[in-house]
Amino acid sequence: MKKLFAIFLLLAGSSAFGADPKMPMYRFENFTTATGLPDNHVFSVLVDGDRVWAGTENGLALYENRAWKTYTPADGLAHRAVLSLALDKRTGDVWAGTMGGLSRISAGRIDTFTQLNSGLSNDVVYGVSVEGGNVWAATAAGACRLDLHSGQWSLYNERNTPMNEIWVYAVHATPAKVYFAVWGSGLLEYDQKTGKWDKYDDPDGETEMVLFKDQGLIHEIVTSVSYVDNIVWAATYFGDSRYDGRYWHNFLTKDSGLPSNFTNQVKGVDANRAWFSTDKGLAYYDGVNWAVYRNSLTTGTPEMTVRDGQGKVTSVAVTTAPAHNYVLGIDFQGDDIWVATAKGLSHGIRQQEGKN
Amino acid sequence: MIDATRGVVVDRILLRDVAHGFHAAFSRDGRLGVVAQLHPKNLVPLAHLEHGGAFADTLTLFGADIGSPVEVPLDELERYAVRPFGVVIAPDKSHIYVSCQGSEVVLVVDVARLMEFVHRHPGSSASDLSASSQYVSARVAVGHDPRGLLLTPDSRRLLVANRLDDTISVIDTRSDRVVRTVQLRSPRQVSVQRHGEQTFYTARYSFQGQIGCANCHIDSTFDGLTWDLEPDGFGRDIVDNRLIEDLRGTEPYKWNGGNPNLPTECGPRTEMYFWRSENYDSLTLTDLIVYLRGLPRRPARLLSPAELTPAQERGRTLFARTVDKFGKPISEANRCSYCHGGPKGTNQRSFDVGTRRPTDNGGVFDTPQLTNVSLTAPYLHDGSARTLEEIWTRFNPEDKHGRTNDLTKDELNDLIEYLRTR
Repeated sequence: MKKLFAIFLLLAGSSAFGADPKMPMYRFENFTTATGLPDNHVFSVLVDGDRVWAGTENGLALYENRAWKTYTPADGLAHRAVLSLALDKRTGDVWAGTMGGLSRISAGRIDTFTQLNSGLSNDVVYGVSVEGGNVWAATAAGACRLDLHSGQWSLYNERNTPMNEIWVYAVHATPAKVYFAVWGSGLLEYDQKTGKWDKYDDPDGETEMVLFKDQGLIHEIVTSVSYVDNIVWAATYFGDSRYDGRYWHNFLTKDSGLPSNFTNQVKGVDANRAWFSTDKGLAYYDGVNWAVYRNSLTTGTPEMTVRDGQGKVTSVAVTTAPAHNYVLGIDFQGDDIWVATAKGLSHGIRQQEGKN
Repeated sequence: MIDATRGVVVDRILLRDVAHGFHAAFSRDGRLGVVAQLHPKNLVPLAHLEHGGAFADTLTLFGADIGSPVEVPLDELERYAVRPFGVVIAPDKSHIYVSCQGSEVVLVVDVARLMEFVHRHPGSSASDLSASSQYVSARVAVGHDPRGLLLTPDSRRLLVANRLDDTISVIDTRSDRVVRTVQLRSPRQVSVQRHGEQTFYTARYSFQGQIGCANCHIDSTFDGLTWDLEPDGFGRDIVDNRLIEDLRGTEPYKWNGGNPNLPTECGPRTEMYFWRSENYDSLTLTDLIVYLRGLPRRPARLLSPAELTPAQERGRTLFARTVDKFGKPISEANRCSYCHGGPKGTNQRSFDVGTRRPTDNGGVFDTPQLTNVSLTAPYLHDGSARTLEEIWTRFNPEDKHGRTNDLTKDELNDLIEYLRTR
């Protein structure tokens, strides 16, 4: 009898009986204007080693040696509202897309490019990505590329690409492909080797219905894209998609652990794992299971929930959460994460299991 | 400051108001850094070029021995240090040696006295002409256009490359005297071009030896600055410096087109407004002009005009167009190719392109050549357009500087891509 009981306990603890998957746990340390951030509305975050850059509504903030320094238009920044950030790994320069142009911050020197003083397509720079010797910008009037070696600007809009809307929300450039998230015009792909364009649309047209599950991009209003390990992760305001070059896998709240279909950013870790920044919390997907980190929608207290592959949802006891549920972006610092939210910047310090 | 291991820029030391930093050196212990530099005083209110004092020749010191970077002068009244170029620091940090191109000397700076001065006078002393006598211990005459410096391993000899003599001066650092001049292989007789080039770089013709042509035309190019050159009122007729490559067929000169040829440009005008001293004799003036006329156009490193890209081809079409996008004819004087036609990009005439400022005495300007225009920022007669784009995005609201307001952004980019090939 005892033997049977012991075997039962063993099996009960195993995954064969649906044990809770072990998802990363964090202790969140939140930064606001009270602790040195220039503004609580943080649009973007970028980690460069020990330095953390935050693009806020009132300046570009740098966290280094446990202190904040802020760059504003008085320092030469294009505009106080910094929407996007990218790092040029070759030089250490940081590129900031703002509401008033594109700025390069190089060891304290700021050079600003606008639609008046350069070939930048538009001053509202929603997204920026640096790859090799090129800076790619997603703007409110198309996309563009600056060749840092020759100084040439190339513009991409409805006249020379398949996009029919020119409001480009995000860009992710890699040596092989460059992807653009176009608001209302799906996902655009540029092959760096062939120079050819391709376009991915919602097969359901512009309806909010999903008539053809996993048959294509989940929605035309694409807000973010991440290309890693030959996998395209795309975020929209109506769900998210994963594309391996042949098959699509779409995620909605009704059939996944997404806390909301309204996704501001997706950031792929590898072919299977990704983070989703939504308006109702931060979600992590490991290829099977989901974890959501947020403040409870009902009580406002920190919560972490885990949804396994069978759809079972369990709560994990936590005492901290990101500063706000409206999450705009995330970046990684080793095992830690930094989270940009509508009401502050959060440092998620990775914890061992059982500690938060 | 570049981290050599990671290959990234990690810090910048701002050289305030310095337009040209030439060479930098570090002491062996890494605690003292020195930059040789030229500090133009071109910002209004400028004591016009003809009043002198338009340049300061200085060093910037930085590093742990200094704290916050500080600028110190090298000039003394009547003993200027025109265009400090090369700099070396003795291994024992006893002396700093600086070559001065225009003054044709090497200055010897006593580091202990320099440090004492710096600590007693915090902040920049760039305008203090009494300062450098406190730490410049010797002034050694060398050859034309001294540039690179090299100390022998035992620090007993300082080698100075005299670029325009093809010689190396060997200075004994104990006596601070030239003990030998090594003649490198060169023609026995100084050619007309070489003499012209020596004339271009020297400061000896100007009042008190303060400046030379190369002060504004750095290395026979230009400094990218705007100047108030003439005594017609402070801040009036500010003009942008211009390139002097491939000058044949680009006369007249000056933004108002007032100088019909180079002998006029470099002769009486230079004497009156720049040197305020004796001017060149006729043979020297001729040699100078032969030198200037022989300055070739620098090759465009990044662009191949032999094979234009699609964007450049589209731009060339826009440059040559005679009808705008709505089918309306563009008047002749408002076509790019009319004023900026010809191989040098100028029809050598003057026009009003709607860029007159309240501080300008006139509004009609000589059409500048397009030679290497991608390198000659800023633009327009007063340098107010910081980039090529701004010529049309900010300063052409009424289409007086070419019909461009019908262009889309990508078409304007194409036009600029074509201009960058000129």
